[in-house]
Amino acid sequence: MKSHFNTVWGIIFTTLFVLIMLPLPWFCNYEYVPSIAGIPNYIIGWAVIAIVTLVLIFVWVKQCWNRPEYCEFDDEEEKKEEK
Amino acid sequence: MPEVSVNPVPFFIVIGLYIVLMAVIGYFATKQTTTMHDYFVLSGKAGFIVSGIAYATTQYSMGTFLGTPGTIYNIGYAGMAITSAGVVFALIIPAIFIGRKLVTLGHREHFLTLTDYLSDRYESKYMSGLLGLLMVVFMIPMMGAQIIGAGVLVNVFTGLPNQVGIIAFGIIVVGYCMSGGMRGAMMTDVVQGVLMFIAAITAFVICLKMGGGMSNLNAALAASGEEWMAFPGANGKMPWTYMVSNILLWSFFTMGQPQLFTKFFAMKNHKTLFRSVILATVGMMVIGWLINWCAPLARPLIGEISNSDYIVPIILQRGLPAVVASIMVAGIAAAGMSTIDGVLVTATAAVTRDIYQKFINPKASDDSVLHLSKYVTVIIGVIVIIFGCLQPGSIFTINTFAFAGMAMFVVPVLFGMYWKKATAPAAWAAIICGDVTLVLCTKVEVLKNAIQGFHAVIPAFVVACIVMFVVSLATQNKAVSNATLKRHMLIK
Repeated sequence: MKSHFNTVWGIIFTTLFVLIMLPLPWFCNYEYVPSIAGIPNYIIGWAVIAIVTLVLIFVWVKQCWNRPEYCEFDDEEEKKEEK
Repeated sequence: MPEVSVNPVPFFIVIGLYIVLMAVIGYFATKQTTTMHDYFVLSGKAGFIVSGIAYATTQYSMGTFLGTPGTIYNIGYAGMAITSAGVVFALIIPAIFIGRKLVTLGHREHFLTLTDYLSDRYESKYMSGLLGLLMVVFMIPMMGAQIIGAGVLVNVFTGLPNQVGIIAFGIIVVGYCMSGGMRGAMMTDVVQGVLMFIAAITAFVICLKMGGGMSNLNAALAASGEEWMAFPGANGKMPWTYMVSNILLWSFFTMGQPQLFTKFFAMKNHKTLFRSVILATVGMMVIGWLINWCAPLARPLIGEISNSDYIVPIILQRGLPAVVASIMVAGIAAAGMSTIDGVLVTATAAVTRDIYQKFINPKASDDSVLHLSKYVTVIIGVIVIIFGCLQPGSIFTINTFAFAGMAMFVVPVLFGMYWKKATAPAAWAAIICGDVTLVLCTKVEVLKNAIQGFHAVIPAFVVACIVMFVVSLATQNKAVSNATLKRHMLIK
């Protein structure tokens, strides 16, 4: 199952995961910097990462959908239904 | 509990109806559970709705609605780092690193439990006994934390002693798990997940409504002190190091949790996994963000309270009519029940399959294990109820410690999946050294200070990885066969 496709996606999600843990003011701020409606800026930073990650999850799922290695058990199900 | 006026009638009616619903689901699950594979992993036939919701609800517990918001209430906005910051990664990280392989291996090798996987990968039947025992040791407090929460809810809404709630909720969960196994657990998880979702949204909306909107609430909170709006929080309990620990603990370390690991074996195919990732991630994000956000927003509304764990029930009780508040409380109870059921079935599997069938009586048939499982579920359930009645600590502390203890399983899982030289003695040594380090860094004051605000799970993980690496290299005479490596690394 080791492939360029899986490695690339592993790196993308791991990068985002590491990014949110960095001690940057957009993710962990020791001073109050208000943004929309007085919400602290780091909350917005987390929300941005969350939305970007969620969008990338959709893209990942779409790209995985018809890859042969992920259809192995679909065929099994289909065969049973045919019987 | 002076903050809440007690009117038990609506609570009893709603909770009574909820219990009847769980019993009906348990009854139907029982009728469809005929084999050991059915009992433990639904014979690998779970669809994405059941799988996704069951994953989310098993991870989210009573602590999500009581202990975590209670902790955030004393920290301020920075406390939301406990789950909100990393929640989006809670399933995608396990899915990327282990989930895809586990779906394949579960179908090909017919694994039922985490120890099935590890003992096969490391060609060590003794691993089953050790891991089964360790799992039970950590799973009992994990379930105990949930059941303590149930006691709190009953106490807040009826005035009855905590023990009444602990015993009643314990009997219900044991009942539907004993009869319906994983099917009962996952089917009830769907109803419980919906209730949790609604409860989280409702609590957040009530806060905004009672406080006149987000801007007003944030202005009031900031006026009481900017420490409520920034790191390390009002009580200084959320430095960057603790934020990182929590992000890792509730996403990366979920890969070592046996009750979540098993969910991959129950999935029908890879498409179920992909859809489950989307469903569970969205569900966990909505619940995790909104219920946590209630805590800082509620501070200007509620002020100081005797026990911060009660903050969400207080918000619901003050902002909603009694019947509606009781329905929402059923949602919180659901969070605890859905965690207990997933863990209880996994703990039962650890005793009957990992310890009994593989270690004590290898000749035991699957039918006899299935039969035995029902009695073991009851015995573990009784121990959990006794643990809950003793209440040895706060919900957050017990839950986090149990989760961190089982997090050490992630080391042999990841090394076993990605490193051919990993050996069984190294896996044993890594888990034991990791858990000993966890206990020492939690209990010994000098070590506690030395880890600079990180949760003890971080040094424990580092120690376990080093031990795994060094002992594996030193025990290459115990390296597993190429045939096993090919099966586990999916090499054609």
